Amino acid sequence: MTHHSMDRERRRLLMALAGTGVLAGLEGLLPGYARGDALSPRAGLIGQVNGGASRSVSLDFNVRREQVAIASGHGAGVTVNHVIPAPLIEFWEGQNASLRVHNHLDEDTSIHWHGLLLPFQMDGVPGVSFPGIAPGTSFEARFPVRQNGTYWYHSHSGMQEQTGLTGPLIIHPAEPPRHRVDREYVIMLNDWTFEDPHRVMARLKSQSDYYNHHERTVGDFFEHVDKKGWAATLRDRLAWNNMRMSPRDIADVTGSTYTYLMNGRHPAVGWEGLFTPGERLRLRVINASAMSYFNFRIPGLVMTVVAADGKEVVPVDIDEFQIGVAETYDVMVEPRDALAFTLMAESMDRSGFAVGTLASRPGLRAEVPPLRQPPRRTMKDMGMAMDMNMEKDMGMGKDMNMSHDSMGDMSHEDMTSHMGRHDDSGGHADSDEHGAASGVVARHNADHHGAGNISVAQVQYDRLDEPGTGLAEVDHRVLVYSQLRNVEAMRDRRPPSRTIELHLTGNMERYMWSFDGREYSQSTPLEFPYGERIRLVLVNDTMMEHPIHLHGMFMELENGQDGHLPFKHTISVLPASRVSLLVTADEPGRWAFHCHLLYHMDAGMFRVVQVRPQEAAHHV
Amino acid sequence: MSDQRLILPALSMTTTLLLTPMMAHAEPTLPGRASPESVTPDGPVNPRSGAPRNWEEPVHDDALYSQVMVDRLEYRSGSGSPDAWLWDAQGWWGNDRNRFVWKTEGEGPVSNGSPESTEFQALYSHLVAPFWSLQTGVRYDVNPDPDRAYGVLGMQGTAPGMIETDVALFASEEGDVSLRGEFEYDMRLTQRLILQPRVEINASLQDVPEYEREQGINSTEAGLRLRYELMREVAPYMGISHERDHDRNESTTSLVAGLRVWY
Repeated sequence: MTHHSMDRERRRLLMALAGTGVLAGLEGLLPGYARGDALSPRAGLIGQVNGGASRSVSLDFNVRREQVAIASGHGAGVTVNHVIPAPLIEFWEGQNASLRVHNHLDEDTSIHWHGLLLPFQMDGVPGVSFPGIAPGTSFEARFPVRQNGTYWYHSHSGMQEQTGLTGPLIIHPAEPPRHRVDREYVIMLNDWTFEDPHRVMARLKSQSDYYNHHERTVGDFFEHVDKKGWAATLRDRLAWNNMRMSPRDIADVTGSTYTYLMNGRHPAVGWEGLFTPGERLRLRVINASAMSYFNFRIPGLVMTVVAADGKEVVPVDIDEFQIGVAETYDVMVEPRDALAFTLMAESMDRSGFAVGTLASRPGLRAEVPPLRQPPRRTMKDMGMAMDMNMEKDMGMGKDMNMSHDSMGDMSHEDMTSHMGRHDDSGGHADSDEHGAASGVVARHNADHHGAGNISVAQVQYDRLDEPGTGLAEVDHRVLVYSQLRNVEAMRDRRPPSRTIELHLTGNMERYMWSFDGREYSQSTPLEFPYGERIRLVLVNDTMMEHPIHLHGMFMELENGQDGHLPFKHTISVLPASRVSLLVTADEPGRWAFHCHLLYHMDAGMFRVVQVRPQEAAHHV
Repeated sequence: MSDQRLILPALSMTTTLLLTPMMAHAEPTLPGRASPESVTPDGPVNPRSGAPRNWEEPVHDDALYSQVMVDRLEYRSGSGSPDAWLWDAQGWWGNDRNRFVWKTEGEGPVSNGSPESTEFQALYSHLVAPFWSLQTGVRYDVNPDPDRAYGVLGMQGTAPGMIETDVALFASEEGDVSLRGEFEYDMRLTQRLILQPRVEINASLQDVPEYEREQGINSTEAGLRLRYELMREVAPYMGISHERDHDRNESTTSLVAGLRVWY
């Protein structure tokens, strides 16, 4: 028997055992890869955070391509230690992590530790921080653990993230936790497709609305006529057609190919976590999907948000939140009754959902709410300056004052000084001077970013107090960014020494995505001089939201929580919005900075940020 | 190789840690961070990533893609003219901005006789505006007789109103200049059922006696096709087409049935 077929036999056995729950008791017998701490799935306990005494961890990650049972079918995926999603790993703040990644694929691989502060050479981005892990070789990431919270890890090579290589990463705090917790679960969300992701990309390149099956039809037209009349309907259709865009463009890749997973379980099965009534549960929600935003709610339970992107925030009680790709939120819930509660993670375009249950006894289930109506884009998303009639026709919520004031021809630099929200550090306290009623905080200048960009946000809004696409009209509390308040006071109170403004741009027609109209291949690194305090202004010229992720350093979101700006590693920038972030460039390195929608990143919405002494930047 | 990869980063960090206190000008290295000096690599640098030039690129936005689109492959049954076949296909190969584009189009009677028209185009296509490509290249017609070569200058894209547009100017080897415009609009009746009006206009800037063409508009076609997307790539259709030959002063109305298919 060849080694290969033996391996396959063993795998089949392991999978069979995992399926029956026997594996839980067999950990001690597991072969090779369990050399360090045990790192394997335990059926029935997926998602359970174990905790325990503070210690350094030493783990092995064996990356393979193999057939797995997933999403009610069988598909080829990239596994870590034979499982998809990759296993939960737990670190302890103040201790060390030693993570050995072994590549058994026939292509390069990598693992990026998302949200972690570490030497950049350990960050796991091939081509930026290290050369990648060639087939048959290994790489060890070793670093002291300098933070705590909810994070995750994923491949940064090719499309491996879409094909399964994502896993949760929890860091237990050195100090006793601020909130009493009786039980902790990880809730990791994924989008799985049986299609080859390269084929998905090729299809998007040929027809960018390939996966959208909620497009406007003639039927919708007459419905619109019934509600709003002929004139308004025609005006609306003409406006969208003349822009050559669709208000139904919510997600590029949808439930028509995706199955949405919660902790690896597809909706027909669902994930289950047990509780005893009266317990306080901490749910660590991670959006590890490639392309899908989710709206997350637990009908019947109030969620108290206690952390965002791993960092603690002042508790906020809410009923629902939208989670962008790569973001994490920690929420506390306290189910008092001996019932079951549905964890509903609806994809933002409402083409599908992932689901789980908090159950007071095994097997107990609550009702799964039906999918709500697909949302639509508005003219506000387009950043269009409109007359009042159009707004009324289009049912826009806000009373917008569209008088073209003195901001008409401002350059980018001018606009930054008129950002709506600023904390005390920047000395720009004159908030909303030019648009208190409208929310318009800036207007676009003459640069339309070339052929790689279709439209610009003629008017730009502060949208940090909006709950996200499709959630404006729900009749319960939805988390908004402006509510996030850091529990810690801001440490770096220097005014920023420079402002870097970047526009999020794209050409849907060709499925091109970029910053400032330049794809990665046409770009040069952004320089963050070492030690400086930098203001990063992001303007979204496209009509969809982008989760923008900076590796290696947290960004402080200027959301009005003066002196307590929340830390974010990934910021979801709404269409036609302008957000401002502060970064202390105290982590030397070459860091990836990109849209975390996988296919946008691969299409060019990617830059390298270099944090190095200013002299070095000038020499090159 | 594998050992080297394992050791190198750790080694460089250790050496940095050891050396830092002795180097007067060096920035201090903080625990758990890389040294500021390690950011700029020794040796050739990739100008996009700042990383060593011999490393792979982190993303491949310049990757080459391709598409083959048979827009119309149809059977035409008309009043007062023999049943006919028609094909109209094109494809591209390239990145987002620069592509090689080919097109072919032809028509002929089903029984007896060679095709009335058969043309091939090979074009370089460059994205000049968000919705528009400028196309230049050559066209070669093997029908009608005699064969003829043309230079092509065209614009293809989506016009405001979501109108798929392909306009081109052709200059033949004999010096004749002609124009063609094709316009299509997809009206979605349901998520799978699409009604497509289509208009084509051909015109000459001078008489072309070999082909019995006169200066002015030579032919127009207005069509209405209803297709059903079995999947995005495969859609059979039915429709009607009204053609007018202005030179011969003849009109034909045909029922058409065909297939639209792409990959």
